[in-house]
Amino acid sequence: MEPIKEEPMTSVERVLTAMALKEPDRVPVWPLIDFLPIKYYDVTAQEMIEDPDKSQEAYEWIYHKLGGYDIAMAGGGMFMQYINPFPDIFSALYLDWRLPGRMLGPNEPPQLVEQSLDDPFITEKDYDKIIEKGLLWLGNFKRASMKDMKKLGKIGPKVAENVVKWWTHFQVPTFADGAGTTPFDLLSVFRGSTNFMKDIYRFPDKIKEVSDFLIDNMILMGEYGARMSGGKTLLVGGARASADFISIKHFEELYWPYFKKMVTRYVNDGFIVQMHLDTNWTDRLHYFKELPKGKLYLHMDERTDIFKAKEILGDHICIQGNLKPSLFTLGTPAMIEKQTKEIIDKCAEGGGLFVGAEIPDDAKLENVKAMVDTCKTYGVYKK
Amino acid sequence: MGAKEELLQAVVELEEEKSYTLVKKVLDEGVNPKEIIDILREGVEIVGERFNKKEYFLTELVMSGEIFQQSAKILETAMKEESETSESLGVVVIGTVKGDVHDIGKNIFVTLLQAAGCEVHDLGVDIHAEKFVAKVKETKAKIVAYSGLLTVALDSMKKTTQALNSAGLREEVKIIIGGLPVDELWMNEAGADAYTDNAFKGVKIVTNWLKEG
Ligand code: B12
Repeated sequence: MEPIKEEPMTSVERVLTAMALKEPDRVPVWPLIDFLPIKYYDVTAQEMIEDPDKSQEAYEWIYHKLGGYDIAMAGGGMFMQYINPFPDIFSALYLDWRLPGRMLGPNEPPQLVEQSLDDPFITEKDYDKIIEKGLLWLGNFKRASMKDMKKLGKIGPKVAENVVKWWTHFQVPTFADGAGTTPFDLLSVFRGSTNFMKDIYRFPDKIKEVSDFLIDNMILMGEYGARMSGGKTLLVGGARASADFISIKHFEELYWPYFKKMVTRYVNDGFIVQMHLDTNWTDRLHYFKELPKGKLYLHMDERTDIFKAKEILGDHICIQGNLKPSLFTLGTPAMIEKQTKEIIDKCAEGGGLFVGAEIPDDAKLENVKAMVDTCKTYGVYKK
Repeated sequence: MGAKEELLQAVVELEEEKSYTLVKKVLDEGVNPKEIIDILREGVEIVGERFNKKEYFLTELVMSGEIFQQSAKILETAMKEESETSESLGVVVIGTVKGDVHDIGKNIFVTLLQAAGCEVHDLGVDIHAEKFVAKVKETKAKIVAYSGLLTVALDSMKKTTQALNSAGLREEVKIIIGGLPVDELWMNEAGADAYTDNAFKGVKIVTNWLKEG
């Protein structure tokens, strides 16, 4: 498909300008789309994961359908995410992820049930075992067939091709060519969040010890993933260390030092870092000022107060947030337009703003389009 | 400070081992197990209030629920000896509705309900409407609670209420819904009687309903 060229800047230029806290031609817009094409295009959830050509085709189709936006997803990337031999929270070779066409119907997006209280993936005794042996012993590689393993070798280069296609042909940056996970998030997912919250009270020192042991290798795993797909962007996500879960005291002791180390290292190594933080981070936004200035992009969901974020981080980090995902399914274009305008009114000045949200699989296209269009008209910066 | 006050304080400050030691101590001192349960409940209640004021977080709610449950286990034997049956406040059937597997928040709500003295039947995640109906019939529950975080959950909640209706049970129960996106619109669409995105407030609503009878 042909690139869309009708604006003064390319998406690559626009995104880099906004991240550097300057005003681009208009506010960049980014609907985070993963499985939405299965509702509107002739493609299944299974193909979105396992067929890099078909999923790239579907992503290009929806990109054009919406008139173009500023960050895209490379077809096949999700295969690398779910059939990942490295220990990660999305790897079906470690956790019991149900994948479409495997344990689910071909058109059902992936599911993971939180670890149960009495039979979690790792027990409290395993903390010591991790320090002794690392993490690979936790993998259940039988879950992937030989076919999968062969496929991994084939899909890697395909994903790399798709990444390059977005950057050079369409001139649009990609999302999450690789991903870094903090020890805190990994352990919380492996233990199950309720068990892990008890551990935080019972053996905080042990959690620190394991995290110290893991952090450097976990940083490298993320970089390795991005290098395999020839990409420039790294995602550092988090949801379980926010004010919806833990106190500032626990955040300071068990999360922030590791998060900061990871993000700073990625920036220093030349990656474009996309921080994706779900749940409510409002009371701990000021910590993010300790991160490198003008080099980062922080997306938050509606739980965090974006207007506070602008106040606290406006001159330090490019931000995005506030639009509620469910609005794209249950709301109307007029509602989306109104909220998008409010965000632009209050946060666009001086640059450093993205408008966007994670788009639910059952969203209405006209709602997503309303956000995209509003940024292209109302979001233009006057020189 | 007497041992009873010390126990209350230990629960509120989430000092786990100390709480258990003190439960045993006051029990040895001859305090009625029912009274001890009431002290523990008061502790969990204060933790919940601090949670509402954002002085405490989810971790603290979880921990207070744990301390309550473990202490109740210590007391169970003693209660049996006195052949006192500790009556539950009422029966609640809960689940994350069809199509949705989020359950971190729901599980916390369940723990707090138990701490408040409810008999809870947790169906789990991705629960079909008919399963709710069957469980309500079986347990004669007066309260049904749906959890959901995805937009598809709204449709499933609607269907679950319809199924309760068709089974002639809607008038017999009160329905509360919870989860991140729920609001008044969701409540009305889902045919529920209350909504909240705060587990502690949810417990207040449910216990009030049960006390009203
Ligand atoms: C953790 C998480 C997951 C985990 C779930 C683990 C688990 N077993 O629970 C995993 C990784 C598996 C997951 C998967 C998915 N997720 Co998810 N997930 C989240 C996340 C980050 C946090 C949810 C959470 O636990 N919050 C903390 C708890 C404590 O809060 P809570 O649930 O609201 O509960 C509180 C209250 O609501 C209340 N409560 C809860 N239930 C009840 C019930 C009653 C009766 C009462 C009274 C109270 C009550 O008590 C709690 C304490 O007060 C949210 C983001 C967010 N902002 O919430 C996204 C989010 C919910 N997920 C989302 C999506 C899209 C998905 C996926 C579809 C992703 C995908 N494409 O694969 C899948 C869906 C799988 C499925 N079929 O369900 C979207 C939903 C968008 C939408 N509106 O549709 C969100 C909002 C992320 C986003 N920003 O887009 N997810």
